[in-house]
Amino acid sequence: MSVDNWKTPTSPSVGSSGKEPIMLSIRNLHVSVEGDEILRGLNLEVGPGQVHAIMGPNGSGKSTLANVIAGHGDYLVTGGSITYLGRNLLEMPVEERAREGVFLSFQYPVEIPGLSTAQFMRSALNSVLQARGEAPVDAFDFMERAGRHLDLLEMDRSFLSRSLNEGFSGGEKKRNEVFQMAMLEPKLAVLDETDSGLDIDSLRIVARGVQALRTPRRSMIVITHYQRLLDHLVPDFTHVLAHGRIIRSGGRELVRQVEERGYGWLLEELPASAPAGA
Amino acid sequence: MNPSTGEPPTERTAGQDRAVRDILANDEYEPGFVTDVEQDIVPPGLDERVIRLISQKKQEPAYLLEWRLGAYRKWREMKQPRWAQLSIPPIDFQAISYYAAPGRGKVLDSLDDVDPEIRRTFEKLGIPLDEQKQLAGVAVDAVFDSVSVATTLKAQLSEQGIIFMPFSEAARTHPDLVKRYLGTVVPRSDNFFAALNSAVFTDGTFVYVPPGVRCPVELSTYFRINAAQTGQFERTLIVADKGSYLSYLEGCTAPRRDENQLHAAVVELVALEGASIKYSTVQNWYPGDSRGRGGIFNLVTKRGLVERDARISWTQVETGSAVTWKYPSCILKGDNAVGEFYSVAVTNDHQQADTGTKMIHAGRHTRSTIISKGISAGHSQNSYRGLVQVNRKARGARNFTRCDSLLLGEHCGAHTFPYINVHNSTAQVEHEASTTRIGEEQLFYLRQRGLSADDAVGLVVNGFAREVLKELPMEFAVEARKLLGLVLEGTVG
Amino acid sequence: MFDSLSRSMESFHELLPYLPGSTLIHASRQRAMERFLTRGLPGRRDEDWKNTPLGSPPIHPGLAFLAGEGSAWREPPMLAGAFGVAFSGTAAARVLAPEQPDWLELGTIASVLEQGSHSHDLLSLLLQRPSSLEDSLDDLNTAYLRDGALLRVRSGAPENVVVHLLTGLPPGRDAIYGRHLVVLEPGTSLTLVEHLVSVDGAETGAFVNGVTKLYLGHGANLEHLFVQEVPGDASLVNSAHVWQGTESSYTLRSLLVGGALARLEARVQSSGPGTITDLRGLAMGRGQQLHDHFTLVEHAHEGGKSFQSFKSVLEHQSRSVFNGKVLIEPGATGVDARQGSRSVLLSDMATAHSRPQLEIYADDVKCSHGATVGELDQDAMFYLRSRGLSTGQARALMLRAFVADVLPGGLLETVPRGEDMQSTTALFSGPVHRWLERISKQEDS
Repeated sequence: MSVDNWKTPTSPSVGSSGKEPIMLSIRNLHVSVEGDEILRGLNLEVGPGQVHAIMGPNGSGKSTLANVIAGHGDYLVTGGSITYLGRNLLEMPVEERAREGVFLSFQYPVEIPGLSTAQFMRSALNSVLQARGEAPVDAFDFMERAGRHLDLLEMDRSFLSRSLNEGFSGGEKKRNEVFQMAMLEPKLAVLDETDSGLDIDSLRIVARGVQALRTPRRSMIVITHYQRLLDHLVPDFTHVLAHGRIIRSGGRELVRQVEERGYGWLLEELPASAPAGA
Repeated sequence: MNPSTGEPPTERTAGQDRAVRDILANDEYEPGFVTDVEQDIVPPGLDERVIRLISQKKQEPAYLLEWRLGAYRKWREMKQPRWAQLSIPPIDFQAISYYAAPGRGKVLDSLDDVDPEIRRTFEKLGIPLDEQKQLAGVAVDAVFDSVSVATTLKAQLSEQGIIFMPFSEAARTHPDLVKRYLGTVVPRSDNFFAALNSAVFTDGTFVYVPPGVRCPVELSTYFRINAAQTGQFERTLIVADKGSYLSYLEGCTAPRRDENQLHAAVVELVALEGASIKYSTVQNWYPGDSRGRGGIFNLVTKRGLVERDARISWTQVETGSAVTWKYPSCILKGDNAVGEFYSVAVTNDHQQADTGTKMIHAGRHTRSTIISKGISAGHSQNSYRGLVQVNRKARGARNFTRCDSLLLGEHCGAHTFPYINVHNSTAQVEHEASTTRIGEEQLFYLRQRGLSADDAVGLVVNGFAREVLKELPMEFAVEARKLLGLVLEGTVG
Repeated sequence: MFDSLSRSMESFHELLPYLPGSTLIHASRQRAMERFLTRGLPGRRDEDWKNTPLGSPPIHPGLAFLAGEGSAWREPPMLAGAFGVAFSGTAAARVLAPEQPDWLELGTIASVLEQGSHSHDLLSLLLQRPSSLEDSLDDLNTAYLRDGALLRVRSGAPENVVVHLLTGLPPGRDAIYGRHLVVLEPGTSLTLVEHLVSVDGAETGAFVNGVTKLYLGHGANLEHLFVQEVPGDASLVNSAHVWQGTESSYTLRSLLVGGALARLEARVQSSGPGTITDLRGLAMGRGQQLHDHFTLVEHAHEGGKSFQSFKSVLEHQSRSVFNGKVLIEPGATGVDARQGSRSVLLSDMATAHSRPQLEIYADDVKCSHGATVGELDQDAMFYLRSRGLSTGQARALMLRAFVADVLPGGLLETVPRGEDMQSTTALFSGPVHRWLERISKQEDS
């Protein structure tokens, strides 16, 4: 396969047709962490309602991409741009991105002793609602909304009164992430290895929860190592990330190819000096 | 604690204009306004004549004057203590006025007699001395500078035999009770500042709950230092007779001033057999400006005597003052006595706090719990200092202590100095402490969910302090939570 | 008061000519004595000595100490394979190693003092004071310093070098001053055993003021074992002043058994990032004994780690004191400091004092401390007894478990005998076993 064929005909360029606004457009993104360049010229376009899967070997820069989109301060953008709904995402503080509809499901959700999930979620929900010009929810509204989503994720009401993620099992933490996503109704959700560390039942519940949140308008970037989440949550596009660049894009069939053959064959095809993904 | 800013312009006075200016000039400390009322101030300085004058103005019985003079003579022989963890400029005790009373020092009979200026001051502080508060079930005593200006709900309380009144009034109307308990928990020569207070205290609150009575409302006192160059030396004495219960709230504020002002209070609690006292404080004295100028020196002695089967619980939220030095303590004298101390101390800018408790286990099977949460930001220094002592005869004593510190920023300090002295083998004393920095990851997580940096800090800090905040009575808890956020605004992000 | 001070100065001047060293050193001694006399011995007014009443022991040494010409004593056996230096209150320090390899310098402090300016670098190391030091015992030690061990490990040394420093205390109430200087060059490692005993096992009421200055070069690794089992009613104050270079590792294991009043101080200061400090100690008190472990770990650089665990087991009217402070200087980020003290009181008349302190001026740190004081867990005691053990046996079993983790190499299964006694593990296990055996034979106390 030649370099020219790296982009498949189904390459995500929907936004550029002019009709639909581009949800997210990443151009030639370079990112360093503590002086090491992790992302080296990454390009990605995500249209409304699209689900993009991003796969790749360990250390390829997947989590870096997720954290940069969310605005983590440890990641230094040294070049390129990210445009979100026509705005320069990189200029927006973390919380503004969240209020404008960017949601990151953390690979390692943070524990905050003493802070109840309910207290946290209601504060977060109200800041997001306020940014959208909507009225804040009172405790009763909140419990009603929360209740619906908890049921979907097979989570007990007692979740809400527990300290945020403290003492949660791996599965509970990930379900809590999806619960928060459901509550905050983002426009763009980035799921960073939401399926890692889950047993088969938790995976089913989490995948079903995410699938239920899929709408014609909501875009998702699903970062994963495995096919198993993508069996439940079928992507429109699949990308393989290696050495800080997207080295292969394709449709859902690419997922199976990677699962069967690993990444080796893709890496071998990569010319040493080619500006991959450019 | 938000001052009302929507007052009609027609009622504006010079004082209010100044108040508004102050609020605009420095909204970091919201209660920072000065109330313009006529003050009856004794000129600065301290000698026996001043003490006689105070006693005379208070129309005190002779024994009290003698007691004061005795304390004064002891004080003159004492030296101001020095502390390892506090740096306090020398205090000129002759530059302080020891008596400042609003109006002409007349005794107030009803709320209607309170100077409207003062009433407005308390309203700005969110302490309306009116029916509304009474309906909410809180009886309020307000101490303005050194004088108690109004005590609400007195009549309803007296039906149950509960005495809740300004200390000076109690000294006249209930001399036996006052004489019997005054100085029994904090002797007048206990320490330098307690001795000073004993000599010059001008007012405060006296509470007595008769045997078996459960006080139906929260009793509350708000303290405010208003006049310049005055010290506030209030004295609180609370006696819960056998099997009785009471919950008492104390709130404190002061206006912004460039110079330091001294607050040296003494609080004595007596819980007789089977009685229970819950004492809660939200302290928000003026902390000084962001460069460390001005602010209150809060040097307070608080101690409770706990008899058999009785309980004293101290809860404090300390956010104000340039310097805080206080150790609300329990002497667990009777068998099965219980002492508790729950504290949140927040310091920012150049504030210094050295606070903690002493739990002295003297009786058998006495129990104590200490939960202390220190939060330091800016250039502040925050220390926990506490003593747990189990005496030789205190078989089966139990103590659990947990001290946690949270650091926000690189220039602050958090220190923990526990003293544990155990003289009995059957005791179980446990102490745990930890110090951590506020997690960048925690803040990032919260901000990713849409919260501002300040709100994120507020939430983490509230979570950190939750164990203590839940001990506060409901309406204080809300206030305290707001205060924590306010004090730490802009510290991160 | 003034009278007694001027008398002290007079006594000092009378004794000065007997002490080793040039006029330069005598000038240092003079200044140290002046500093000591302005402060006096530490007392109750000193926060760090509040619960350890040193009283007023005789501070001026006798002529027997000064002359240092006393006869050799029957030193207890050296540890197997160890180099040794023996020093007694009345005799000069003696190197107990037939020949010295290139990578090890063993000598006496007396010779360092005599060489004067020729050993200028060593002298400055010998006389350096930790910045945290406030009390005057170090000054007193400088004033009357006569001898001790000089020990330098040079690069190229093998990994398992053991040096055994024996100090023998004579009977009587003499004041004894000793100082050791230990230097580990970069990358070297050493096990240093400091062992305090009495001469010929006799009871002694000496006042001992011992100071050990320890310097760890870059990446050096020192295991410092301190055992004190001195019979009689001696007052023993020993201090370890430690300067830790970048990425060095210092381990202290202390066992306090003897004396009427015994205190071990460890003041550890980082002089570079990435230091590891692990301090543990056990005090076993009986009768009216008082044992005091005092530590100050000063993290002045990034990424240091320190761990402290001190335990005491107290019988009769004995007392234990733990004073431990972790100080984290501004900028010392990434420090992880843990500290704990635990005491078990076996008698109603015993007392434990504990002051675990944190003083922190840097924000990105992890610090914790814990302290517990109490009796043995009564449920566990019941469980063991329900299986047929006597109260004493049950107590001894539980105490074994309690003390094991603060001893180097843990606690041996059985009492060490014969050749086994010459290991460092045995040095600690011996006194602990003897003590546990006694406990196990007691019924209800």
